[in-house]
Amino acid sequence: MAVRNKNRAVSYVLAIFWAILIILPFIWALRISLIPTYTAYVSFFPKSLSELSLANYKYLLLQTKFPKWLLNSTIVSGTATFVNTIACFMLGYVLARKRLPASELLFTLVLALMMVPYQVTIISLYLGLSKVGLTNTLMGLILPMSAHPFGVFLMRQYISMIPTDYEEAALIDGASRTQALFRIVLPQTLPAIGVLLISMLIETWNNFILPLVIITRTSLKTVTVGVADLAFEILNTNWGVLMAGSLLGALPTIIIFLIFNRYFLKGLTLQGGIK
Amino acid sequence: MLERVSSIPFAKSMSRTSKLMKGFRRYKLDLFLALPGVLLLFTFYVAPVVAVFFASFTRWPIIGDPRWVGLQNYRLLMTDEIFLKSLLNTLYYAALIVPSLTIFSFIMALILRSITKGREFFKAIFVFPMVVTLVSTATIWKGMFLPFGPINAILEFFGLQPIQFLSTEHVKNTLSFVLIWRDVGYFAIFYLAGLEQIPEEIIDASRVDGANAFQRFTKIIWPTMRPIVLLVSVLATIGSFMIFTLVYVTTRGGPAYASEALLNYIYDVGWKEFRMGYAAAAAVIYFVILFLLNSFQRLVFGREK
Repeated sequence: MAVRNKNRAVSYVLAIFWAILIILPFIWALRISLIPTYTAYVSFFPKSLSELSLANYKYLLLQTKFPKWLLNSTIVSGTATFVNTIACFMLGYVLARKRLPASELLFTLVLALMMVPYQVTIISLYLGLSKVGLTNTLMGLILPMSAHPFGVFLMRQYISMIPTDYEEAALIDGASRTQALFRIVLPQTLPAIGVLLISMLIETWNNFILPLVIITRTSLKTVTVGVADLAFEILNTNWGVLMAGSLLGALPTIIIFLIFNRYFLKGLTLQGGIK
Repeated sequence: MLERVSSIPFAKSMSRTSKLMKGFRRYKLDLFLALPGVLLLFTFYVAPVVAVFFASFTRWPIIGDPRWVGLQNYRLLMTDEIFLKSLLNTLYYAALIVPSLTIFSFIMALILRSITKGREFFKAIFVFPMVVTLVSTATIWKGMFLPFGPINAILEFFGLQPIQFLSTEHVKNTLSFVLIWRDVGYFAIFYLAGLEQIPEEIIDASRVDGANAFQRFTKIIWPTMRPIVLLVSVLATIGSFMIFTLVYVTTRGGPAYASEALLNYIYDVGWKEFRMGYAAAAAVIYFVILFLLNSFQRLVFGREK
């Protein structure tokens, strides 16, 4: 077993190396965000704590529309995720129990839609939304993100693994089907709903191309588009402000991930259909 | 399940409308439950897919009505130098990113598999870049790769020449690196889920029986992993075709279209030149190429017959 111990040691060294490679850019960004001006002569380690300042963050929060962008992102991803989860749960239930005549056909369609990258349809989506006057509105962002084929797939797969016995027992005991759905099925589906909530929150928050084309008014932008603007807004990019914005803009999803990373990791493997 | 009422013989004699009513009543709750999801999926997924094909046969300025032009958009695209360049760039990205991700994330999964203490911790760190919006990742790496940035500082520290990472010569490799850096841990989780399905005892038994590492790989690991290799290579291809955000934030396709990917081209044509029909035709070609690549991967890594 000496070979295996040696292998294990090498694995740890490589894993630690890669972990450092992942974290280092973010530490560097934090470092740059804490100094007033970034030049070639900035050393990685601050010489003293007094060298650090929050000026960039102050500028970001007071001089730019950043707080508004944060609010927009929160409204959009919160609402879209909420509607998405309910819609996917209900449709997933119907498909899992094959309630409707076309259930299987509909599920095949959902599987096919999962294979179409939505970026392909961004043009027609934009043309449609502008026809009904939903461009430059938050509603125009929320609606397209409110049902995700993956969500329907996840719910359908999960609910079809739940035995129907409990539901039937409840029906025999005189519960209505609605009661059976919300009192019996829903609680058993909660783990999958958690996975869906977390992965959709992160995905909608991070979405870039949709808000980029749907929103042109600065005060309606989401945080991703706002930060991308910072990168090109000023002729001479203000690196301190840009790094502060990049970190603050990513902070909500990072916090969600730190708290719920188990759900997120579970969601990843489910996404690939691996149980 | 409870017997359905409509299977009773006299239901046949009912008129069509009352049959419809009966069907509606029978499926009322299910229709209600399915409706929001079905409506949203058809409005925002199915309809746009159909519409983009139609739009690709039209001339569609952003103001005014579309006009049918047949295959003209496609004909023009075939001789559009910037389109062809962005198409080649996209294939270049895919050629670099897909094999790298497929192989490196497999290796990373093997590393994670042999780690026992702290595996969950390393898993969380490795997928961390996936959680951060690609916009932030792009701006941070753009800073890292500045001519006077930290990477060049490290190169100089080791007595090497600084590199212009975002120049025409290097920009595609640089951006590919960032995407690989970001996704490798994510795909490692897929592989790891597969590796964890192989019981430790089987590996141990094969060792006892004198199988070498190569045999272990071809006889035990590969058969279990092949479907995941397929999945990862398909998803990595789709991912490399979506390099849009990274390119948009770091270079906007420059210098001189050197890093322009297909999606960036589609965006430029659609939202800077307002030629929606033309952009739609480019999007259809984008989709067809991606579909062909994925079908080819299915053929190579798919089930053996």
